[in-house]
Amino acid sequence: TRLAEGTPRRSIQLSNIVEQRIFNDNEIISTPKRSRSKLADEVVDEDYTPKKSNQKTPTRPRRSSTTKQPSATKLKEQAPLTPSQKLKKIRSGELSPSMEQREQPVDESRKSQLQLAREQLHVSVVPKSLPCREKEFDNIYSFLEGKIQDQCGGCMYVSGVPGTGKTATVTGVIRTLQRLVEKDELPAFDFLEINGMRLTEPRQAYVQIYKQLTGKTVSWEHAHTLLEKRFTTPAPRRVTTVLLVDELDILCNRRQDVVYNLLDWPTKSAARLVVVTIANTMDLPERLLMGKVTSRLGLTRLTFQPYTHKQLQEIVTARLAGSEAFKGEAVQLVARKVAAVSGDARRALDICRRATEVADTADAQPGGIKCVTMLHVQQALAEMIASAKVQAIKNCSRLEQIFLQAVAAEVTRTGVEETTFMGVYTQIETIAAFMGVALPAPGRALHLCSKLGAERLIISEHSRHDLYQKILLNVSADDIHYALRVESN
Amino acid sequence: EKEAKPSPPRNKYQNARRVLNSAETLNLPGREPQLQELREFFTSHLESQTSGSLYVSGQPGTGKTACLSLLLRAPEFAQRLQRVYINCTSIASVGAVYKKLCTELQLKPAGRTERDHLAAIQRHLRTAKRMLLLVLDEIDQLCTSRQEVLYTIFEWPAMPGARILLVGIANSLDLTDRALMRLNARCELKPRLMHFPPYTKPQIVEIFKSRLAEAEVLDVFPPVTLQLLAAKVSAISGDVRRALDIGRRVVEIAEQQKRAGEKEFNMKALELDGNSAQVEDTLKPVQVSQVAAVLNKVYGASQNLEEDIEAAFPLQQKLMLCSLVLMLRNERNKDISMGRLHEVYRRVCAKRNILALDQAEFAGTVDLVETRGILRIMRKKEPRLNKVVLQWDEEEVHAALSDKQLIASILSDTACLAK
Repeated sequence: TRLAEGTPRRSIQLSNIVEQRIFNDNEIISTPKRSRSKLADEVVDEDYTPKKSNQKTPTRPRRSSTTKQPSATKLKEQAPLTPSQKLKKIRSGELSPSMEQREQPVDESRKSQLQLAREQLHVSVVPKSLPCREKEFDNIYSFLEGKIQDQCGGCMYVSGVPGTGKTATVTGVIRTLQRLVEKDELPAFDFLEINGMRLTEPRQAYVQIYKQLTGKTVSWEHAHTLLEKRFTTPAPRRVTTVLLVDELDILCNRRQDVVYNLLDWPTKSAARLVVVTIANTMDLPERLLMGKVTSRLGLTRLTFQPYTHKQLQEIVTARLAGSEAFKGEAVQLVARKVAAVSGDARRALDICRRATEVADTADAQPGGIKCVTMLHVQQALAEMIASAKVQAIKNCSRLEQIFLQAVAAEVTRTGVEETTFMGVYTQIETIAAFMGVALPAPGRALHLCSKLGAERLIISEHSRHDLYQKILLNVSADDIHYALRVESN
Repeated sequence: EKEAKPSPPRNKYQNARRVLNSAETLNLPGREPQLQELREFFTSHLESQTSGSLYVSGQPGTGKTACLSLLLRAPEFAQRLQRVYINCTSIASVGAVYKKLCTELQLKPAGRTERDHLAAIQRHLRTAKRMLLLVLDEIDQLCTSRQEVLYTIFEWPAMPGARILLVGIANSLDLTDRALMRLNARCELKPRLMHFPPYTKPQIVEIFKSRLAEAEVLDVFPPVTLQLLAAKVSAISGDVRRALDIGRRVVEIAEQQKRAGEKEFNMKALELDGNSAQVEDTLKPVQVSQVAAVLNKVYGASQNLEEDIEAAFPLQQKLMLCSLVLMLRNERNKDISMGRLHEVYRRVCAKRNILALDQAEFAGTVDLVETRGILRIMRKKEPRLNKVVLQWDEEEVHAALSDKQLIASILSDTACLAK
């Protein structure tokens, strides 16, 4: 609590000192709040009591109202800001957030072939046109173009497993449409975008949407009323608004009011709102959403299938674009392995990147050119689709291995997956006698048990139930036998 | 600086597409009796100057909100009624409905608490000059455990001196019997019920005809296609939003096909005689086959994804599903945990000489299949203890996998089950 008291007071004092140094007292701009603080300062200056400052700390962030401050333009010229003035500027969107700049990026020409390939393979480098998604592109394109030309609203639901190019395709379509608008071949439209995962709470969606419309940050209640007003009252010069909602399933709470509102606004004729929603689950509307929300979502749906190995191969080769860094069969191996599991393009690109890193550290081939071969890919695959459990069992201490063996033996004996510590301990006694090692005391064995439980090799309860605690094997019994047998050979 | 450009000439498909949007309209064919009943309810209460409450229920997309917003705009009630429409999904919390109502009525409550707002409303109701028509849409959002707010609102008609007409709209037929039981104790408090039945086939045909006639594009849809579409929708849901959606999809597909055809035509024309290719605007009406294709796609839902899935069902997911089917078929215990499924799957893979995934990857694979709606995972504390439940029929799974050889060989392999 001392820290919490301390910080705001210090900053207030400091800013006051700075202001008194720089301005004469009468020059300080008097917004209503400032004048109050000035008064307080005059009283307090002689003997400062922390209690007063404590009252001053805002418990909730104050939001700016939409009414403009009369002194807003004047404020801009004054360099030093009090924290509250700064916050106000941030909330009204006058200060744009900037990041510190690095001095100089590395020179492009000094990069090796492998480095260039690695940069091209990064997931964040979205290509101009997505390979293997032409059909889906056309589908979304004709939907959005029709809606914008018709000047009416609508919804679309796009689904598919992660890494199949949903968001990239939709934003690609939007970019194409925006280019058409620039050439004056299409009526202008606004583009807004929210992502369910970037919101702390479903209702924050209103704040984000309003912020993208006007640049101001207001509370969600206020934002909701303003949006409601915007979308329900007809305005003659209203342009179509395209709203992209990513991760729709995160926005579904129990009341589903946010989803309902987002999908209900397009049905108002004044709104001219086109909502494109993206989620992973194919049957989300039927599974999670209420009947009335599903009815509003409509039937315009599109599913992105996982990539096949041929498509993954095409994606990776399109990224490499004629570079000699990869052997053809190496790409094919990655594509086949990934397509068999998930068909996730991100996964394939990550494995390829890892393979370039492996090749980078490996010794150069006789030819002198570094190139990613099958062996490098194999190693990268082993790292990324890895099963570390056998290794973990091999690296256990001798007694821990006996413990694991005992659990497996007890499972086979009883036929039930769940064993008690008592039964396991009897098995340990037997195995220890058989192997001729000293038997650990039950307390010691409990310690082993909790250690294995923390490693997640077994699932165990809290050890206060000592003899009666339940133990489940978290690795398969075959793994244990395999690890221990190979080692003993 | 932006001038309104003359929009490019639109063809009939585009006009039909625009007119079939699911936004609100002014004329509501197929809802005449309901509109009449509502009108009678309002006028009778207006004439006798008595309060009353009404509960309107019906499936989504049956025109409840459309009817009431039409009546809210009707000039015959504009003079004698003060009209307020509140959508209960757009209030911050259940108690905030009073505040919203205060803003709608432009009341000045004494304080800022919920109780002050309520007091202001009650004062207004007692002393109001005009009768109040209050429409609460999606009223089931106001349900709480004690139903304080709902009871308070539905008791306003019984307040001495109050003249209020209260209309609640929701989906479930029996909300007032379920959630507002105690209103039945007094006859005067009991809301009058009114149900909007799902649209029938002739009604949907009528709606389409009136909409298409509005833009004079009736010839785009031949009567047969309308009949087919309406019959299918009314058989399944009777939801007019669905019907309009399907109609729009049909037009969109017809337009796409036409555009593709046009391209070919243009290419041919270019080859034939230079550049003076004249494209005449001959639009074929939509065909039954196109409607049927859209209907199949919409109502086949998960089952007819086969053609897509066939190409891109990852191998490990196939093996996982086959193992699950094998276990369900040969074991009486339908309680299948992730750990047990993984054990069987590993044995299946070992038999086929395929490198099996480890448990962590396997859990991810099961998750991905869940997004297709084939499975359901009951989450437990440990991933190994998650329960896997099959949501589809075995036949559907077979059809979706469309890999008869693999399935047959795995299903005959009961030896994998035993330890």
